[in-house]
Amino acid sequence: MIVATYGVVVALYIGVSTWLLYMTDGKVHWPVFGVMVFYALLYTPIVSYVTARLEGIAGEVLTIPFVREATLIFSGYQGVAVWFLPMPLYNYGQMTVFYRQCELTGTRFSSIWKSEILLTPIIIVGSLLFAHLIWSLGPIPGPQYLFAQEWWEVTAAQQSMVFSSTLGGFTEFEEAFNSTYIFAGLAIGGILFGGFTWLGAPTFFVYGLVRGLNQTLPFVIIRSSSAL
Amino acid sequence: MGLVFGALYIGFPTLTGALLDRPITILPLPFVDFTQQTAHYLPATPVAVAFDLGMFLIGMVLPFWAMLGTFGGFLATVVFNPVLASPAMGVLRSWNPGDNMQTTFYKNQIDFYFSFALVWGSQLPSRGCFRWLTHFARTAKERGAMALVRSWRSTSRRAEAISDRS
Repeated sequence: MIVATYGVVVALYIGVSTWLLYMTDGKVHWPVFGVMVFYALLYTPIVSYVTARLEGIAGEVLTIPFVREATLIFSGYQGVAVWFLPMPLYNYGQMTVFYRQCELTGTRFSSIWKSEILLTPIIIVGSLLFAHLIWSLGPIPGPQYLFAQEWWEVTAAQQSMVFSSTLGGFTEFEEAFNSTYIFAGLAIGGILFGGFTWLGAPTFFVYGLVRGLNQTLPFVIIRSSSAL
Repeated sequence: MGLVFGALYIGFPTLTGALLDRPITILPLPFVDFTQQTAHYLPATPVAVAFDLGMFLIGMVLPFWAMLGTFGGFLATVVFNPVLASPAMGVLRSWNPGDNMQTTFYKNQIDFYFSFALVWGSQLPSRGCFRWLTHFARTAKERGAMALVRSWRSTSRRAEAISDRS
């Protein structure tokens, strides 16, 4: 039953995405189809299983960065449409923790599914309503929305850098991709991680160190100072 | 205290923003950018301060070691960015002294941090996988490889049973 449900869900994902790409480009791009099958049959089940086990063993979540970016670049697709497709690329490991909590508190799984069925249409209608309301209050980004005003350009530029990787030719992505620095990151990261693990440093410290790099941003300073 | 701060930090700008062309802010929103002022001492280092008390409280409840690690990453950036931007190194080559925080951050990403962080971040999953594999190997050694298969089957049967019961 569970496997059949998963099969139907990923088949819908792959079917809808393939159809959307067909509508955009006028043809089925089989390598992208293969990437989605890889996500559905290998990546998502393995990462979800490892995360579920890891949550129980060490309370950690397995997150592999740039999987989507790497697989789509290697698929050889030319264009940006592929970045906007819904893909069966998820980590369901943490849901195991949630279901275990439900089991321990005596919550029936069918109650959760019923609440999801009830909530989904309310969330869709509510999101559209409030998005329309907020959008009509003033231009976004604009002086009314100061954070968006300050940050939208950086966020958009970073996204466009990744999207440009499938455009072909010399792009912003090519400019940012430097193999020397990649190997430097691998070597320095490996030495630091090995060293901290050998010293018995807490896992959270290593996580924090990775996240803190190149983040001399305002909220990092205030959050770190409060902890200290 | 939270109510008073919220009224000053968010409430007043929201109200004035609804009545006027631009909101009036008592505390700077969303942050004050010092990058251009500190460019002489800390080249290519984005420096800014926010006054959001919510972030201050979040820092108090997040795990201490995670925050200490973040602070370590921040200090490493403050120390190494000027070195990487020096003419001798020439790594952060796009940065100009007049750049603000956002531009500095983005240029640094392009010049160095995007590539450096590609595999730097992959150390975390490696560590997670390593922990899982060692646990897997230890269990197989203690109870035999077939015990793992039986454990898998029993977990699968339990999930099916729970699903049917629900």
